[in-house]
Amino acid sequence: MVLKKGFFFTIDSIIGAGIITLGILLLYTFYIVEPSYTSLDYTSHDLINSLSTLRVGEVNNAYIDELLLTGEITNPENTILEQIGEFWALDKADKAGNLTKEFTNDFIDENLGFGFYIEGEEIYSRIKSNDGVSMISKKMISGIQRYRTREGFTARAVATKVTKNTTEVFMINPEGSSHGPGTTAEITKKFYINSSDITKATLFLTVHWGTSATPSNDFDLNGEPTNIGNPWLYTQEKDVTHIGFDFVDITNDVTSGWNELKIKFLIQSDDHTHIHPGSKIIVEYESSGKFVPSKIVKKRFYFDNVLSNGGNNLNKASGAWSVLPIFVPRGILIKNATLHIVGKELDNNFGIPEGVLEKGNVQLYLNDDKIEILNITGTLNKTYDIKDGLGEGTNVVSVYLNCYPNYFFGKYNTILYSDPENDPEDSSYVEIEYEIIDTAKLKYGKIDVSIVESFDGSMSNPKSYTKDFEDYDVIESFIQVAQLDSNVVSVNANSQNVFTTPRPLATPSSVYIDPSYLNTGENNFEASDLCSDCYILNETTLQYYVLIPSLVGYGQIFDNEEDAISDAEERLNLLLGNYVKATQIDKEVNPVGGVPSLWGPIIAEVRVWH
Amino acid sequence: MLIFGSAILIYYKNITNLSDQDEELLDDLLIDAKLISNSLMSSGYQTNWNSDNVERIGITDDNRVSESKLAEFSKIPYKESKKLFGTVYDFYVFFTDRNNNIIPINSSSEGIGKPGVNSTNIQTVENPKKLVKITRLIVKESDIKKMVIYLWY
Repeated sequence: MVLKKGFFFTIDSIIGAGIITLGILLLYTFYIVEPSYTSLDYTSHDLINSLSTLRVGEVNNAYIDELLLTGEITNPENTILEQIGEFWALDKADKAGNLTKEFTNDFIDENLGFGFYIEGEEIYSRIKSNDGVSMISKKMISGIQRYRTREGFTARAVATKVTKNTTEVFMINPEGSSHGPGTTAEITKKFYINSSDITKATLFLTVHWGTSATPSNDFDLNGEPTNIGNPWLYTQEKDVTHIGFDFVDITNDVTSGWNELKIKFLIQSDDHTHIHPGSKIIVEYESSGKFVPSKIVKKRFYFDNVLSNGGNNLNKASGAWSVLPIFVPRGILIKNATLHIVGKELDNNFGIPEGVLEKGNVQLYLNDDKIEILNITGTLNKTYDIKDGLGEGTNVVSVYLNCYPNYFFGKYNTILYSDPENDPEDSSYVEIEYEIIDTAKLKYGKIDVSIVESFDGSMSNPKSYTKDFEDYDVIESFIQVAQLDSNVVSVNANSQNVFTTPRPLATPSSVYIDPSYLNTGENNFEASDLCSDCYILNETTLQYYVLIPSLVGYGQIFDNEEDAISDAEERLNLLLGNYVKATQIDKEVNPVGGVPSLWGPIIAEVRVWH
Repeated sequence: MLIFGSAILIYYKNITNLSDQDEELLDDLLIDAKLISNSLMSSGYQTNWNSDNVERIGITDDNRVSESKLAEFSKIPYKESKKLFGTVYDFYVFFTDRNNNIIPINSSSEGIGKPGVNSTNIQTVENPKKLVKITRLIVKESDIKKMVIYLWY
């Protein structure tokens, strides 16, 4: 009986265990795991990316439509994130929160907590208990903020009156002279300074005199002696003759209006005394006025008056010669070009040596071409049309009266007449009138300033100078070659030849360089002489004319008029630079309503947590 | 009593072994699901890929679902897709809106993945041992949408 009971209990327990095991196994078999995996970093990252991609203008959303309709949203190109940021910047926290809720709440698993923050300030959140695990995704945003400044001001400024520091170069071209001991030659140069505020004036002179080691020359400026060449800064002895170069400060000797420089050569010994390239007067002064471009340009260049005082024999001979450049820019049409020459006390009653090709006591040349060869006793007063002989760049008119150095000289007195101050029409001059065809050269509303710089270093042949004009608008430039002895001079600009002396004694004191030869950035200028010991002095100068704008347009928008005006004035003064000062500025202030201004950048962040 | 106790012990031992294996499988499924979701959220490779030249399946351009890339994805044979995703498990991808309404891929299918399944019949048709689900958010058709990825074994 006991055994029987034990058997039943055992069977019962086995069946029970089997049922339990089967039940659990069945339960296990039918159990399917579907963990819904929601990564916090995916959620925060995806959400902020989507908000910064989706644009308010593209979504089909009732709340957005309402905001667009009521004008709360003005820029449909804003992303949802930018629009939330704009609402935040405009202190429209409720709209920022509602918009955030509209585009977050339905997309984040309801088991997660999340919040949207700008600059750490909560815009919207859905609070769930936080087990300490959270993930943050951030984006930097910025945008245009409306009506932050209800009214703004912008200003522009025009310099209606200016003073400018400009530099003028008065050329003293190669010219001379009598020949033989005891003779004299007096060169009178008249030049007009159109300013009463002269800051600096310098006289540069290169004189080639005869065989005497000590020259006996005098230099007067406005009736007062000028101490130049005492001693000469540089000297050179050439074929037993002497050449000296010097410069002297004449600031206190020049005056506003007409000035008169008298160069008095007393020829002590054989050979004739004359001026070489490098002679000039440089005057720095303050002036006013703007550049007034004109389609028709008329320029007149006067010869200096040369009075040569000789005797009646050819050992004490007279003669007057001079060269004068005439500049022809590119992009113009020459209307007229004339040489008006007035020679006085001419005498052709002397014999021109057999070896001289051109038999005339008056010889006139344009570059290397004859204008006319004449034999005249008495007065020469004649005008020549030289238009057809002119070429682009620097042209040289050479005038020889009663002489052709060093081949022959005449008798008694010879006068190359010029008095631009008192007798301009009957003076000797060259004049050119041209029409500007290249209208790009007609620039209005600008201020023209002339700047002169000396080559640096020491004398050499050739000699180079590098100049970066930076932002300057250069309209003309010149090289004023300074030398002791001089022969055939060439001037190159950026490796392009712009001038070569066309014939003996025909190197002018200034060579024109058209702006078309110039580069933006660095420019290289080189002067050289065919004669190896005809050095180019470091007193050689580069003169360039620049145009400086006289106005600045409307600039940034400011909260008040004063700041806008101050900004315009500051921009104008910066533009005018060191050479120009505005003495009268017209300012125009423009009020601007509904000025948008920038907000941000700000940090927007989505925080998601379990 | 001895027999009953033994049965309990054997059961617990089996259950414990099964749980360890399940955990590993689940981890593996999750890793693959993440990789697949990251791949889909990318632009894919090659640039402007199509079903013939695709090397990596990605269906976005500029953080938006490219409908043309999605169409090309749907053309890739299922086995080829699995190979490109680098998974041995079965998958199914579909989109829903904010209210969890399914947005069909095209007129003939609501999602892309194992033939014969849809978003609601995976458990009944496939009877998976393990099933994981990943949801990503992406801009599609001018709104934010949910991209749901099922992966199972």
